[in-house]
Amino acid sequence: MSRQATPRELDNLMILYQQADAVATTALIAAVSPALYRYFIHHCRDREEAADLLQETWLRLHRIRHTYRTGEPVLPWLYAIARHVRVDGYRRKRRLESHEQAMDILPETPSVSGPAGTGLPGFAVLVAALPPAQREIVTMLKVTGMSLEEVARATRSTVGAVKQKAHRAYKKLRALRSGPDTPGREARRDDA
Amino acid sequence: MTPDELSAVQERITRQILADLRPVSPIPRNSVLIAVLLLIAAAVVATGAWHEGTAGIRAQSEVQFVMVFGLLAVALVAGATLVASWLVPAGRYYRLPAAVLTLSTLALLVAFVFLFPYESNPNFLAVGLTCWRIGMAYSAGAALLSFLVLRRAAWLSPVVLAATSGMFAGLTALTVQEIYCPYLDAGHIAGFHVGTLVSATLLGTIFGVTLPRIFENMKWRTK
Repeated sequence: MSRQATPRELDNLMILYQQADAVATTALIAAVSPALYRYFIHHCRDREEAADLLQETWLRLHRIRHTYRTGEPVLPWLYAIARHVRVDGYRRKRRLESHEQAMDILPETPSVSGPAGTGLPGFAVLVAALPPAQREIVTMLKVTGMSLEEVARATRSTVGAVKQKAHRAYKKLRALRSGPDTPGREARRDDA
Repeated sequence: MTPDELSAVQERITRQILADLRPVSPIPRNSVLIAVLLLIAAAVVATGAWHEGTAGIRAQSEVQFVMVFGLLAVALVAGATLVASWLVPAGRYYRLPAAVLTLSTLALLVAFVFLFPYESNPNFLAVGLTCWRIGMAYSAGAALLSFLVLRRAAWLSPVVLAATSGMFAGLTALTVQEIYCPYLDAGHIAGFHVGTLVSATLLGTIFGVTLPRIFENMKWRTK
């Protein structure tokens, strides 16, 4: 799917996926996976891990695809599953880390620089500075383009709580962008 | 990850899913699930009344009857609504039933403390434990029957779902106890009737915590 699918198209694809339509299933995976991958990468900042979480999300989603109800928006349903996969993955990672020695080689991280020539830090760097709950809200609102109501449903929260978290996150992001020592600028100074 | 690498991951996912693609019927609407859960509770309560008798109702005054069974009915409806909302990802309308369930359960406790007399009984513990055992048997029955609905759940939040289901089963058992138990001592009710509700909720929570870990360990061992 070359263009961004509309929420209604996604809902229809999901219904066809439940009816075992192979073409619709392929289209749904192609339409949703890039945004899901971006959602994971903004949280774990490790490409391999984000790819694993994406795969795990689809496998779990496939097992419980019957829990999607016709007429309901598909994105909150899908991101609620992704959110649980992310939290489970984080817990599993913490459990494993508590039994392992620290490694010398750091995992590969995504590009952190902003648009070329702007001199501004990238989105990934900025959101990384936010607390996890605020980062999740900003990612869902700005990367996946979900509405406040949809984010509230995906996170089992209220619209008011989502608004409040988003407001606090934007305030912090504005401070980071305008501050003299944003993470990106600091990193560039170190490079120089 | 380059777009090509992401495409490769997507292709792998697509292959895996298409290999196991078959039609599924969507989970019923919330109202249907709530109705089924309430029917299960009604069936368990009717069985309890038929098997254990209705001496409890006959022993209660009108005020006690209206307060206790009114609050139990409200709590059961709120409990069923809450269980149904946790069955699907991004389920709506769970805050109000959660608040209603908490308030009605607290009101029920207050009603037990203030509407029922305190009596001394030399067989307090023996009678109480018998009552608790009967209550637990009915809560187990309600929990097993509820699994007819729960087996199709997403189980994304197993602890919350199992604890809520345990509480729903406990409320069903408490209703049975209030119907058959003629012993109206506030201490007995607070200790062994409410004890059934607490025990069922705790058991549900324990299942919710342990079962996913057991399944995860089984997966690790089979890998």
